[in-house]
Amino acid sequence: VTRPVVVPARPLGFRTDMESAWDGDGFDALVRRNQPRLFRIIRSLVWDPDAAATLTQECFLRAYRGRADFRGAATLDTWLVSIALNIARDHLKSRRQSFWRRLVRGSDTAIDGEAAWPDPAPSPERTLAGREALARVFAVVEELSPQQREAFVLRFVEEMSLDEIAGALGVTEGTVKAHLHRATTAVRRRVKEAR
Amino acid sequence: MTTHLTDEQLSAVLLTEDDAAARRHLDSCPECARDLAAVQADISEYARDARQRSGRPEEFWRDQRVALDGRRRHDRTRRLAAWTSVAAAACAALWLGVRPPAPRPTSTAVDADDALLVAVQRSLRRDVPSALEPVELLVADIGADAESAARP
Repeated sequence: VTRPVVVPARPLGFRTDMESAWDGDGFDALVRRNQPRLFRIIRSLVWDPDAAATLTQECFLRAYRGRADFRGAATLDTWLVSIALNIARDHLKSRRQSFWRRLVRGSDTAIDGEAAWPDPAPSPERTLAGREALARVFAVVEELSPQQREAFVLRFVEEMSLDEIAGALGVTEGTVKAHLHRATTAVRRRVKEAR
Repeated sequence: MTTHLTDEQLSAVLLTEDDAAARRHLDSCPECARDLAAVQADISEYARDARQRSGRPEEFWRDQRVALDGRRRHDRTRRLAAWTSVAAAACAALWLGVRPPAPRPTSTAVDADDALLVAVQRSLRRDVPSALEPVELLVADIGADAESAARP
């Protein structure tokens, strides 16, 4: 006689970690934990603090709306970073398009009085050496491709591991290493030129 | 002649990957050690600046959370409204689908319709409309009287 397999019932009110991350308190905790980090990443990429604030909000909202798509292949935090990167990329693309549209229409001023690329001027309290160092790295970052720039920010500003960066960018660890190698080599070259 | 660290090796050290040969070389080569320190200092300066520029007071984060909560609530309300409309449409469709069919005409109604049709056809076939029938009779009577008077 075969006995029927008894599947233990889910206790009433039981919620997985994944589900509870999206309810009131869970979502609030998720936002609190990731807010400064996502803002920093987006700001480092789009260089407009107001836009970065809006895009950070957008990032959480997009994650909330697409919560069903999160399969748990990466951590929730890494998934949020990948959404932030996509949002920053879209924003830069539309900003570039808008810049060219304005240029074609006959106005060569940047969008809404904002520089197309950041003013790398450091704060006044920075030392001269610090300011020079900053200018060198800015020049390098400006020359990088979007994905190389993202890898650079995630690694050196956010101190994420290569594995996490690969997850957020959706590439292999080898690709991340290649991106970072390109950036560090360029910085090394600039340092040598400055001597 | 000393072989200095390649870009790949320096990059690997910066990424804190284990490269024992590169580490040994750095211990004995002041030039490469200086190179590495300079690159590290530049990148650290960039990272420090990025963090500094992104620093915000607690109110900023709180305001952002409040705004986000509002947008999320608005989103939920909109979605609820959309679902309500869909449910109402589904109910309407269901009601239309299960509503009893319109009653078929009974045989009595059919007979009455046929009788009316026959009457109309008869009326059309007549030379004189039914409303003028008395006048027709009157004219016939007058004609008959005149005929009998004329007879010798």
